[in-house]
Amino acid sequence: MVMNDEGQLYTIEGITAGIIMLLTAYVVFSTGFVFTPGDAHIADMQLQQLGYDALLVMDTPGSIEDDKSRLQELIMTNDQAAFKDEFNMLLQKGTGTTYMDDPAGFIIDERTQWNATIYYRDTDHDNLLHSYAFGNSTRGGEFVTREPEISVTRYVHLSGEPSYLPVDVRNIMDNREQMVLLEVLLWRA
Amino acid sequence: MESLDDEGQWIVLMGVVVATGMFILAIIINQAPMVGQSTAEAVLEFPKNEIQDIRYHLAPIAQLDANTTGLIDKENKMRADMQALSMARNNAVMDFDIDRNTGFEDLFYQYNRLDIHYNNGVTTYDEEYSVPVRL
Repeated sequence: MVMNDEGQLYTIEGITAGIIMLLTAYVVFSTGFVFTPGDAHIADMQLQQLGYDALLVMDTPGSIEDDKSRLQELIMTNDQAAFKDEFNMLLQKGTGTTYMDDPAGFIIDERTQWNATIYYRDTDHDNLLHSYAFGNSTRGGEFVTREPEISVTRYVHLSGEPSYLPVDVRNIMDNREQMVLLEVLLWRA
Repeated sequence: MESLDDEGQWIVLMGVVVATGMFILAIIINQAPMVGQSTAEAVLEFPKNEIQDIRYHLAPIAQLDANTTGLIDKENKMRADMQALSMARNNAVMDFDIDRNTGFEDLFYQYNRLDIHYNNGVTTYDEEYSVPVRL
């Protein structure tokens, strides 16, 4: 019996092409096209950096003669309404390259919601940490259900006890030079 | 192999080239999301902003003159505040030391040494920061 050995190159080519196609299909289908919960890291990282940057901007004195930052002023007067406006403005700024609701103000992102709390250490009663709310975004107070949040914090140096505090806070908080921690929970609604 | 038709080899070769090209492109697509995710994870894991925040607030304290009244008390209160807040809200142990008599100075500045220690269980960070003080 004589074996027909014609077309061997075509056979090898066919097998090679088959293997390449299978490998390609395998690589493509194993690619992370689906936005899995693990990929939320990327959005979280950007949101976290945005929050830290916004707090850093607010806690930087406006000039070298200024000894107080805007954030210190707002906390010292417990001015939650002004904090809401100014913090929101920093969070919502865009570069102008994407869709803009308000082209003049470069406001693009109105989805980010937040809730701010101030933590302080009491030394003359129980030596524990206490906290009070320092405002929230428009829908940031609704805690019934929401997206998972990330936390950004900033130490703020205060020269004394803030004024206009609620009575229960005023009774506990020390009137001394102190460090408090402003913690903001941020999430995309 | 006596009657192998060897015409059309360019077509065969182009087929292999195109298939190899598609395979390489698929590998690149496959790697792209992984790069984004692992970079983001690395950024999230290292508490860069917390450490910068701590340094931002301690550097002015380290610049104070050693003879300032109530300096030790101020430093101790700040340390106690920051340690308690850091432990409670950022799950991190932090401590600092300030040396105002390092002996390092040049024509215009003396340099105080600020040691920052930070540990949140994942990241252990120790820093020696030479804080310049105008002479």
